[in-house]
Amino acid sequence: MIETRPDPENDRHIWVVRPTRSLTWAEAKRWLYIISTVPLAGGTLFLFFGVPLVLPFAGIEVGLLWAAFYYVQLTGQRVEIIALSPQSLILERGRKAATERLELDPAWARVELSDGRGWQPSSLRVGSHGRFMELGSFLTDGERQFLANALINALKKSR
Amino acid sequence: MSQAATHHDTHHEAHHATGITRWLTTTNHKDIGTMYLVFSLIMFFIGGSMAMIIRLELFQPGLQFVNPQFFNSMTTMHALVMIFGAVMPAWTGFANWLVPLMIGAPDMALPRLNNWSFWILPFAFTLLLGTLFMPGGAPAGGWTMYPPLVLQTGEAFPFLIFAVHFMGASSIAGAINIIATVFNMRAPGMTLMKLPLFVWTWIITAFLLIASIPVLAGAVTMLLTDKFFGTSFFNAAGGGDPVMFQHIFWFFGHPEVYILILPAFGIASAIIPTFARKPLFGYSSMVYAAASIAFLSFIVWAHHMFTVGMPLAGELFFMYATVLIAVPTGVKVFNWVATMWQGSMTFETPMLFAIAFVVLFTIGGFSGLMLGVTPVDFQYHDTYFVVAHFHYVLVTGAVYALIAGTYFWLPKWTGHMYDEKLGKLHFWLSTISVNVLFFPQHFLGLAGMPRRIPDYAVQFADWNMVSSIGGFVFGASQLLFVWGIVKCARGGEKATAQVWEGAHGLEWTVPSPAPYHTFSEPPDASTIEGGMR
Repeated sequence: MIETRPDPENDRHIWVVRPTRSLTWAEAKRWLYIISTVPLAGGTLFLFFGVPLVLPFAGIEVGLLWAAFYYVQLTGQRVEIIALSPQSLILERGRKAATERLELDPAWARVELSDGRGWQPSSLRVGSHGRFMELGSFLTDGERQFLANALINALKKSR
Repeated sequence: MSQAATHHDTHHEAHHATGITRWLTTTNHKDIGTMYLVFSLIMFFIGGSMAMIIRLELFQPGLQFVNPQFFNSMTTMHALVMIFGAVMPAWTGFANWLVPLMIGAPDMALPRLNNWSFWILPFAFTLLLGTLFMPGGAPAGGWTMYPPLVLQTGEAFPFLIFAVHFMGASSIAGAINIIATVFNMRAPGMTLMKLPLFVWTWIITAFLLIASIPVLAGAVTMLLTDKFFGTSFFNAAGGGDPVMFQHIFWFFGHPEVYILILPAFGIASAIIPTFARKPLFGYSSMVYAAASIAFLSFIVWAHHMFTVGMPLAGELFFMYATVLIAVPTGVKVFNWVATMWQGSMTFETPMLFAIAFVVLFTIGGFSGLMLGVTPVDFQYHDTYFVVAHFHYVLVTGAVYALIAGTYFWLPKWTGHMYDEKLGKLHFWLSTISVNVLFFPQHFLGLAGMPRRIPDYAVQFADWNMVSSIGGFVFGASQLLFVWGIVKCARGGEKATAQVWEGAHGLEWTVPSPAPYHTFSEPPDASTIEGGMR
């Protein structure tokens, strides 16, 4: 999910890039408990009636479900902030809050979007003078293209 | 290839692999949706060909074309192919295409898992269909795989079990992905009670899959250990209980029926308001009715085995619980009719199929009510009345909704309008022939004709002949459907973004055909009204 925040007062453009998420981990856990209850209860009941092999399959499946949600939630905490002003292009990224920062001169900044091949998705790198930061690795190819175009056009205008 | 900032145009074409690599490695929800739908169509025709063999043999009394063993293989394989190969993948295909578009998400939450869950299917069906060429023939003990009969299957037996495991794994992966997508990737403003009903019915379907597939997996694995590893779970001689298998199977099997039909309710709830040009009547009650049906589906399984023998209290409990399902189902039918009431209706092909769905599915529902009444079921059990009942539910219910949905969203998928005249011809031929095919089977069942037999008493000859003629016409008329789809994919009148005047929802805000990548920026879903769907 790419959020564009124009900041005309400070002559800046800001993009906040996050994976699309509409659920907090607490809410996710609530749903997971509800969804997990029936297969596990069913498996336990069948175990009680002498049918032992339902519970292991239910366990594997519930484990997969929790793993999938956990993975989605974990990747959902990533955030990238791109701030472009006539003086600087600041790239920040991290989990929950920004932990890495790269400041560039917009006049020299390059946006590189490489095509994906088979399983490998496309990748977007922004940088100059040998210092690059990969952005939007959690986005879909289409979102990455959208972000690349937005950055390219904004950089063109700022020059 | 690199693209430098100074040499770049704002209009980017979508970059993706081409040829076979695109389809093998794609993680795009639209590509995967298309693959599911094409796979399901192929399976419809394979399963349909088996049905034609069955109807050909039953055209007149006596054994004409196939031997009884092969006939039983056909009934078994027809069911497995249609349930696990045609209808279930078709719904997953619809979900892949539509759920991200409907909730404003750029793709599914777990795109690679999505790719794997599709590509498991061709392997599963290679295993299953390969059994037709094995010594001892394909499985012939019925799709329910009851022991001890199924344990007499020849070399095909382990292939059957592993094919079922693969199908289950594919379904589970798809269900997990849909739940993760709907809960995690809704656009801002798309609250749960604004979700289109198709999305709601799919969440509930995914929940049913997660709850029921492990039960099937456990049951078939225990069959495998009984056959090859000396256990006696279902072997009475070793202290086991074959009836226990029936309980386990139907604990999976009855929710499975709703897995097949619930998304159909979602499709009807999208199409009817569009062509009635009115909001859906009772949106919230539709959501709660679908959830109630899902809950009740777990406490009615033994109505499939009233005649096997159980305590009177059990017979009564399962009878009352079964009849209770008519309440939320009735709410749905009432709401669809109320939506049409005083609407500004037009009757394009999707609407015709949707109305036929409501009428004919209701006939299947009523015969289901009859079967749910224990003393009555003692008379009808294992007769053609049961065959007529579940085909009204699954063919004129689930399959009709699939066809209606295909015509409804085909312009959005291909960018072209389908041939309306061809669509209407397909509708009338199908609807007349499907009733000629299945309605006489009620009479056959009431007269006492058992199901799963290749030969029958002369008294059943007339209605069997009528039913077979209906079957051949229905089968042939589906070629018009394929022709219509191919024609639409190859060209035709250009479709607009909204396609239908009365269509509402996020999928109708993107161009037709839907671009390879959609919703790179989240749409504002706060203005969408749940009731519009």
